[in-house]
Amino acid sequence: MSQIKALRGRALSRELAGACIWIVLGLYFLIFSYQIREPLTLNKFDPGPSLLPKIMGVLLICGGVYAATKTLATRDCKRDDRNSRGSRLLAATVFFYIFLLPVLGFHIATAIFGVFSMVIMSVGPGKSLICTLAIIALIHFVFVNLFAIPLPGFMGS
Amino acid sequence: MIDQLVSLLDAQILIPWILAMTFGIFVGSTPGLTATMAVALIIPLSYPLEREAALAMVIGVSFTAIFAGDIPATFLRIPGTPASAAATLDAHRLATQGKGKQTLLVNLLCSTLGGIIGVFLLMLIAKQLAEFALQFSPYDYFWLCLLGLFLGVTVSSGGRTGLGLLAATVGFAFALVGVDPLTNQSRFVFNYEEMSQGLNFIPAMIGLFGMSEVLKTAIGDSSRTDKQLTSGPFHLVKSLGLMVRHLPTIVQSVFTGTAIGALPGAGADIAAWGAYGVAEKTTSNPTPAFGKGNWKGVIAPTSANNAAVAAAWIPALVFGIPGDAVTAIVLGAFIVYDITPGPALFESGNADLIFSIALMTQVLLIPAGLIGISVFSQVARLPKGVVLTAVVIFSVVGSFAMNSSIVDVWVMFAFGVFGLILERQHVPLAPLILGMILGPKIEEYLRKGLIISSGNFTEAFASGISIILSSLLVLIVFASLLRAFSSYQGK
Repeated sequence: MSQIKALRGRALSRELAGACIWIVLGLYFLIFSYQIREPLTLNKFDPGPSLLPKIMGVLLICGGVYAATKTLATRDCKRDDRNSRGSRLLAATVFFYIFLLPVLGFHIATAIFGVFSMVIMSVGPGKSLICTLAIIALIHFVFVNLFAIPLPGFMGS
Repeated sequence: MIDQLVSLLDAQILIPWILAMTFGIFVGSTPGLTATMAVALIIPLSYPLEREAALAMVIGVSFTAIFAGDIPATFLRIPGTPASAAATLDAHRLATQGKGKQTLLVNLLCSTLGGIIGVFLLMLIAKQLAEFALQFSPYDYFWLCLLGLFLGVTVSSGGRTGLGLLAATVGFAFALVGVDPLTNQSRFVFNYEEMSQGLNFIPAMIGLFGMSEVLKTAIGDSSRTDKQLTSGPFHLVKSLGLMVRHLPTIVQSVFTGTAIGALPGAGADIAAWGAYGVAEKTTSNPTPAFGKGNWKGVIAPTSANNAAVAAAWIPALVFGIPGDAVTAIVLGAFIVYDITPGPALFESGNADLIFSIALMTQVLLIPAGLIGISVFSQVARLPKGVVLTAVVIFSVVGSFAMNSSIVDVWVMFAFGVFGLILERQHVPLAPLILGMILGPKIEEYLRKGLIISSGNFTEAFASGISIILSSLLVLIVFASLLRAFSSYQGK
C-alpha cells in the first residue's frame, strides 16, 4: 500500500515538474523579451519584435500554472513505470560523444561511442566493433567520398 | 510537363534519386525511424547536388518512407512510421498466414496507384487554389495560418489539445529566436553570432523525432532479434487481380486520403485510419472480418496514406502551410533551394518540376519497393542496439553536415532530450513543429496586416475570406472547449 502511495507521489511530482517546464520557459521568454531593443526606424503601426515573445511567454506561464493547479486539484497523474535508466545512460553517452567529436574527430569519437553504446545495449563486443567499423566506413563513403561533405576532424581540423 | 519528365531521366538525377528512395525504404522500414527523420537526414546529403537532383531526392524519400513503414508493420506488427499503424491489423494477420510478401506487393501496388491519383488530384486542385490565394490579404493569411495551427494541434494531439497547444506555443517561441525579419533586430541571441540565424530547423527535427525516439527505445534488453519474419512468394498476377477487384475501395480511399491529407496538420497517419474506418463502414458482412486478414483492411490505409502525402502538399505549396511534419521539412528544403511556396510558385514553373518529380517518384517506387521488401526488411532483424547506435551516429552526422557546425549537433541533442521529456509528460510532439513552422508566418502576417491597415485590427474582419476563416477558428475552439467540458462532466 505504502509502495503504491510512494509511486503515486513520484508520478505526481513528475507531473508537477512537467508543469514547471512550461512556467520556466514562459518566464525565460517573457523576461528576456524586455531586452529586445525596438529599432528607431520602427513603423509606428508595427507592434515591434518583442510583442509576440511577450505573448508566448505569458501563454506558457498561464498554461503551466493551469496544468500545475489541475494536477494538484485532481491528483490526476498518469503512472509511468518505465525504467528510464537506459535512456539516461544513453543520453549521457551521446553527450560525451558530441563533446569528444570536435576534439578526437569523427572517426575516433564514433569508434569509441559505437562500441560503448552497443555494449551497454547488450550487443557482444566483437559484433559491436565490426558493426561500428561498418557504420563508420559507410558514413565516410557516403559523406566524404560521394558528396564531399566534411566530417569533424581531429582537434577541429 | 512532358519536357520536365524527360529532363528528369538524366543519370545524374536518376542515380541519387533511386539511392535516396532506397535510403527512404531503409529508414521507413526500420522501426523507430520515421518518414520525417528520413527526409530530415537526406537533406544534408542533397546539398552538393544540382537543384533537380536534390529535390528529387527529398521528394522521393518523403513518398518512399511512408510505404516502407508498412514493411515492419506487416512482418513484425511494428509500424515503421505512424502512417503504417493501420497496416498492423490485417496486413500482419495475412503475413502470419504465409502471405507476407504478397501482402506487401499488393501494398506496394496500391501505394503507387494511390500516389499517382493523389498527385493528379494535387495537379488539378493546386493551380485553382493558387489563383484564389492571390486574392488573400496579410490578414487573410494570418487567419489561415492561425486556423491551420489550431486545426493541426487539435488533430495531431490525440485528445490532448491543451498539451498540444502548449507544445505549439513553445515551438512558436523557439521560432522567434534569431533576427526579426521585419526589423533585423536580434531576439534571444545574447551576442552569440551562431544563433542570429535562429534555431536551425533540421537539427531540431532530427533531435525531436530521431534522437528522442532512440532515447525512449533504449530501455531494457536491446540484444534480441526478431526472427518471426514470415515470407511467402510474390504473386504478381494474383496481386493485380486483387487490385482490380478492390478498385472501388482504392478510389474511395484515395479520395478520403486526399481530403484528410489536405487539412493542415492531419497527415498520412490520420488519413490511413480514416480510410480504414470508411472501408470498414462501407463493407457489409466482410469475410474475413476487418482485423482478421481482410484485403480491404490492407488496401484502404495504404492507398490513402500515399495519397495523403501528395494532398498534404496542397496547403504547403499554395499557402506555405505544411500539412504534416514531413511536408514541413520538405518545405524547409524548398526554401533552401530558392523555391518559395505560394501563388508565385505556379508562375515560375517550379510547380511543374515538383509535380513531375512527385509523379515519377510513384513509378520508381515499384522497383525501389521490391528491392526494399526483399533486402531491407532484414534490417528489422538486426539487434536493436546496433540499429539504435547507427541512428544516433546518422543523427549527429546529419546535423553537423548542414553547416559543418557543432552547435547544430548540440541543438539536435538538446531537442532530443527535450522531446523525450515532453513525451514522458504525454505531450504530443507534432504540434511543436507546427508551432515552429507556422509561428513566424503568423507573426509576419499579423504585423504586415497592422502596418497596411494603419494599426486598425478591425480590418482583420473586413474581407469575406477573413470572416469565414475567423468564424471557422471560433467554431473549432468552441467545439474543443465543449468536448473538454463534456468529458470533464463525464468524469
